[in-house]
Amino acid sequence: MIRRRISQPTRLRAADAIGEACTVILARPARALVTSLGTLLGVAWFVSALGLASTAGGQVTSAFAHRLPTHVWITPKRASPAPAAIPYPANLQQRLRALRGVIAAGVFWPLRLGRPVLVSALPQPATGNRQPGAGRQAPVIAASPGFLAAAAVQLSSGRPFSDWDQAHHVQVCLAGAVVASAMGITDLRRQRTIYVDDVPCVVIGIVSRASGRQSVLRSVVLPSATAIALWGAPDEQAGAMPTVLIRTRPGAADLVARQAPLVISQDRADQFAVRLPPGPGQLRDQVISTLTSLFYALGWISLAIGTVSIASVTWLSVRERSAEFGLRRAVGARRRHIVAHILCESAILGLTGGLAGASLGVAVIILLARARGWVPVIAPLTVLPAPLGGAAAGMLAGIIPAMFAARIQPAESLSRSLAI
Amino acid sequence: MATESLTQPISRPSAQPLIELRGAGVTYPGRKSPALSGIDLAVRHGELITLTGPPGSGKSTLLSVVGLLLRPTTGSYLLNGLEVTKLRDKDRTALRGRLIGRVFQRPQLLASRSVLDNVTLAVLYARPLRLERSNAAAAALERVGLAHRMHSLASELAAGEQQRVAIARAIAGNPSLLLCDDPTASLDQAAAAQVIRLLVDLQKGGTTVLVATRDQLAAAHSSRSLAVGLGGAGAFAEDFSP
Repeated sequence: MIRRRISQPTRLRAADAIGEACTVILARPARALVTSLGTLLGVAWFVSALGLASTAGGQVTSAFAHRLPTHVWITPKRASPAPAAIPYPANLQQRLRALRGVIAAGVFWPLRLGRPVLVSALPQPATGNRQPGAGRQAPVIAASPGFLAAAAVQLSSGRPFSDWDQAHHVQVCLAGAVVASAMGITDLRRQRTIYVDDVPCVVIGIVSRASGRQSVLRSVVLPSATAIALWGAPDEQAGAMPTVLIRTRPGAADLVARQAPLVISQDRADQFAVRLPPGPGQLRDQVISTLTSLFYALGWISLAIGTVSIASVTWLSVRERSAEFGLRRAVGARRRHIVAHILCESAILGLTGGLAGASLGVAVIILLARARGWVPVIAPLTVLPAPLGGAAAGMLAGIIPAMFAARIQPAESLSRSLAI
Repeated sequence: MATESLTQPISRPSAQPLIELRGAGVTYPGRKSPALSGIDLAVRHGELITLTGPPGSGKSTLLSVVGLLLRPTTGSYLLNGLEVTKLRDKDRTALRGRLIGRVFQRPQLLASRSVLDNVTLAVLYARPLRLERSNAAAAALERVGLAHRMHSLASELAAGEQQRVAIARAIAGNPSLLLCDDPTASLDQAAAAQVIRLLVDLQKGGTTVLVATRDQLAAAHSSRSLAVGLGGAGAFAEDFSP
């Protein structure tokens, strides 16, 4: 008895499929170019869209950098039960200045005496005959010299108080422009004295600007050591909470805010509250996110259009070549071999289109950035996989035409002439 | 129990026909009348058979059935004793690729590819080694006398040469059965004679050849001549052999 078996099904090696695909593509370069044009443009747009999103994001970041917070406030979380001492080390300024990004730092607190603090141009009588309007209630700030630098205090005349003034408890002060104007102090060529709670202080400077703390313009600022010598340590219960003001470089505030409490006191870092002015970071992130989403959407749409373009050209090509596929089926190609042929061709076309498109996209980013004077930002993660994305798009586009070609009946298709 | 692989070249058993059609018929989808009906045909190993008949009589359909490109809608078909009508597509493709060579009315060459590429295509799926394929294609071109044109583009050849390339493609895989559908239809007399001589040589070399033709010369060289389509509405084959 002879048992017959159908052995050795026909095969198509991967190398042969790729070789055939390359031969077919090279045999009709014009058609290959038209087919891969969709991928080329799609990938080019995709890469340039993502690159432009990154570049624009970088540009936005740069624009927002000027508006990043540059000041950090640190206060004790709880007030001390009784006025005792400043809760900060004596060398606070030096410690904080050692941090990267810190420009200046100092301590200040509002003078609270449990009664209205009057500032007047003349001494007030001790009892009874106070002249109405002779003294005015004005905020008085006790501050270290470092505070003046941290608050970016600028003087229209005079000089700031110094470490020497601080060390010798000299009764000097700075008058904010508003206070000085109210007291008729416009010129410091001759010595001017004002009275703070009836204590005479020589005005040595008029503050015209304080970007770190605008309220200084309406205040009188005394050396903190002088204030302590005159009125004692700040009464935290009365609201005279000693505050550290740190001025930082743009962009360093976040890091300084995290490090500063540890620098002030490694053991009690958690007892300090840190405050940053609201920065534009969230707005910047929203702008970048919106830009990126928009460009991504455009990129994906263009890639989809490229894929549809390959699919339509491949579809037409398959219809045109139906006799060829019929012939291949007649000489032993299985349906899966026909599918492999078409997917190989469309993947190779997609890959070459992707390579060319990625190069074109990078060129577009560089040219546009250069034209606008921007710094081009090209993320390798979007550019390097782009050719593979093109190949994947090509394969995706080839699936339907390949399924169609695999169903071609050889007997029927061979009644037509071969087109290639 | 012995095992015989049907995808290996068929040796000649004593009496068993290579092709045996029993009441085979084909009705194309969407058509009411059959293109082929009630065909009973037996072809022995090594025969050269010509099929004659008017255009539209079903010769090409019959060749497609024999060449496993079409399944008969009625009847049965035994190829070397194996019922192939119900075989899976994969197995029919394997038989087609390894045992059957086919020459079509038109040469059906890939015009932008070389002659060698065209012939190699016939063994692309049956032989895995590239060198083996090239050697087989070169040998086939040698047999049809076109070895010197193997690197020419197919489109550069004359019509007779193109048809010889088509024959080379059909015999590159050393098929046991060669099916030719009017291979001389578009050729002049000299080229047609060359092709007929080639087919006769192949038959003498042991290949079973089935030729659908209107060429009297081909019929004159055949073992038998069968007429297709004399039955009016249906079609059948009638033996006109001497």
